[in-house]
Amino acid sequence: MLKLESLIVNVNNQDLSAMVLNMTIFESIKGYLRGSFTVQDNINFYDTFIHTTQPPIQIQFEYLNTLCNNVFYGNGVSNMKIEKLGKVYTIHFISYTAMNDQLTIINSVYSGTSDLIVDKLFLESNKGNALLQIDSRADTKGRYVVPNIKAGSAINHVVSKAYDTNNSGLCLYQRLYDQGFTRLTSLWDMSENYFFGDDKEIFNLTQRLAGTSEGSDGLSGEDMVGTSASFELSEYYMNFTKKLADGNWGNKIQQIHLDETAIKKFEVNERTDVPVTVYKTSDNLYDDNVKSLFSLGFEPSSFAVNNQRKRSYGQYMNVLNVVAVPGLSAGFTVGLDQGGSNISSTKTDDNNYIIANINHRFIMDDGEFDYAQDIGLIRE
Amino acid sequence: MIFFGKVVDINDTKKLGRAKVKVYDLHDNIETKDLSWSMALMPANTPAQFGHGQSVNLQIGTLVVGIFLDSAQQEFLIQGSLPTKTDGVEDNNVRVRGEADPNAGEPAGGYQPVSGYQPVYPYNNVMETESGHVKEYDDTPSHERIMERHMSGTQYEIIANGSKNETIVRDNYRLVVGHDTLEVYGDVRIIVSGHADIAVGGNLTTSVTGNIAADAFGDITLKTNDTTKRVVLDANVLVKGNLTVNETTTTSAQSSSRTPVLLDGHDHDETHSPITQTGIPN
Repeated sequence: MLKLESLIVNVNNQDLSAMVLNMTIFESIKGYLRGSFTVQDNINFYDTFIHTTQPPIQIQFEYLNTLCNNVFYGNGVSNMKIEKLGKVYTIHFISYTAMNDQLTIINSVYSGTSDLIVDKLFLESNKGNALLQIDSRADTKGRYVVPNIKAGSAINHVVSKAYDTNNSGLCLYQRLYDQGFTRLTSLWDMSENYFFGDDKEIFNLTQRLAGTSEGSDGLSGEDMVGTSASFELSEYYMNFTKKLADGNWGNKIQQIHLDETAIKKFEVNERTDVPVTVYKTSDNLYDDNVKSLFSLGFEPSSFAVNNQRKRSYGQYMNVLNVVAVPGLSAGFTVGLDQGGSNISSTKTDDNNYIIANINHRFIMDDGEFDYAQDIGLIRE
Repeated sequence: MIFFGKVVDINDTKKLGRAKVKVYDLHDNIETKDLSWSMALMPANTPAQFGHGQSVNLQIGTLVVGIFLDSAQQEFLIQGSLPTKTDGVEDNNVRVRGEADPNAGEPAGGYQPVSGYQPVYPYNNVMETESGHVKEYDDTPSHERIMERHMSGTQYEIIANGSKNETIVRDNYRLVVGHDTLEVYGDVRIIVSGHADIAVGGNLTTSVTGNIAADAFGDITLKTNDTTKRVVLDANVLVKGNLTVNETTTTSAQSSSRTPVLLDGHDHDETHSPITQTGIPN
């Protein structure tokens, strides 16, 4: 593993980095950043600063000349062990937006495309103190009456039913290296969003014995970046029959239209014809031909979008203990360098995977922090 | 999960019987214009198609209960209304509650029977509309009634013994395109404060077992407008007052009582031939 060049962990403006034993930060295309770190507290920091507050936590590190700086909020303490020399405990933290999503209640009306509604909800939730980057424009639009619910729930409703012009579902997520802002991106655009290496080629996660010294395997530090000894295809269409039955590859959709007191049958445009009867949100909920944002929620295209979300996890590959790649984040697409092995891909014609999540791990070793990444990869 | 709310708009632009409901807590900050239209669940005894069955009858302010049809809570379905106390005012009709007849003080006819209104809660089933039209089906023991009333006061009431009492506060008109029959076992009394007209296209036949009396303070005129037709008195005629003939008098009687008849101021007793009298009586 390669080591961090610096680490600052400020809790209530007190630098705890000297007390940190290990730290993980998890990012995923399914949500916001969160993490935890374990400290050896022999200065009674907990009683002084933490136990009654939700303190801001700044985590800043430098790795291979890349500076990463994020601010989180404490979200509780667990696993406290009180020992003679002090306390050992784990401080959990979440992002600012995740906290606001839970604490902000929204009771308002929004209209427009799904991405713009998400933007307004996000602004309402974070009072303009956080930024949203819209990478993909939504094709879904309409009115959304937010019925006095948590901002997070409202945003989830919109995002879960939204898709872009490519009939690809949207994801709202945060990256560690985005340093504070949030992204709205479709799976389609993620698959086109390649992470490039220094050679301007698509970056490959490489299967090698990593973590050894340059002297032992001849690899320089830069050569080691993005290598891992462990590629694990943890799931390849597991429970395929059940997923077929559940309609992950298409349903024969019968839709009840209360507006017309009729049942509309749609042709199956995917693989299976397992029937499902759904109810359609009225097209006439509002005057002036304004439709609900969720009127399209049960159209076959919407089902296809949701199916794609599920199917993309049908091939789920874990690449563990990767020598950390600076800037590598969820939502990028990377290649796999199989090397002499053939285990890294089951599709020889397509070695590219979307990074679904990364668990950034920082482990204290001889007074410095090793930085490793556990990466989850998906694709259709 | 069941939600409660208040009806805030009933002017459904599509006239589907929908209403806008401001669901408590969920729509507190939502303006009425932004709310969605909610369908109302109707009872299974109304077909709810082709214009058949009952129409939705909600008012602005009605407390309703319902559910959301979708997980995003956008489409509300009204399952029913709740009669309680709206802003402290009893929602149940005074007639349901068995209180005093709200129309008791209205003017009645001189011969009009009194109302059989004596409802006891909870036997009286009442439907009253916003303007004040009322239908009552009162099952109160010994005081079973049916009453239907227009907001103006025109109404009919059928009381426990089957008698019907009808009040029309303005004009009455009835068109019968076919035939009409009124059969009365008892007496009929018609009281007309103004004039009465009977216009008959065909014959007017009155068949009376007893007597016929026509009593007037003015003239009584029997007239046929066709000069070839006559007024026929097909029985003995008793004239208790004076008899005045303005035109020719023709007698075709086959016999005479020989009782002198005063004509033109002097007696005649001719029995053998018709008598023709001309000239002005003296």
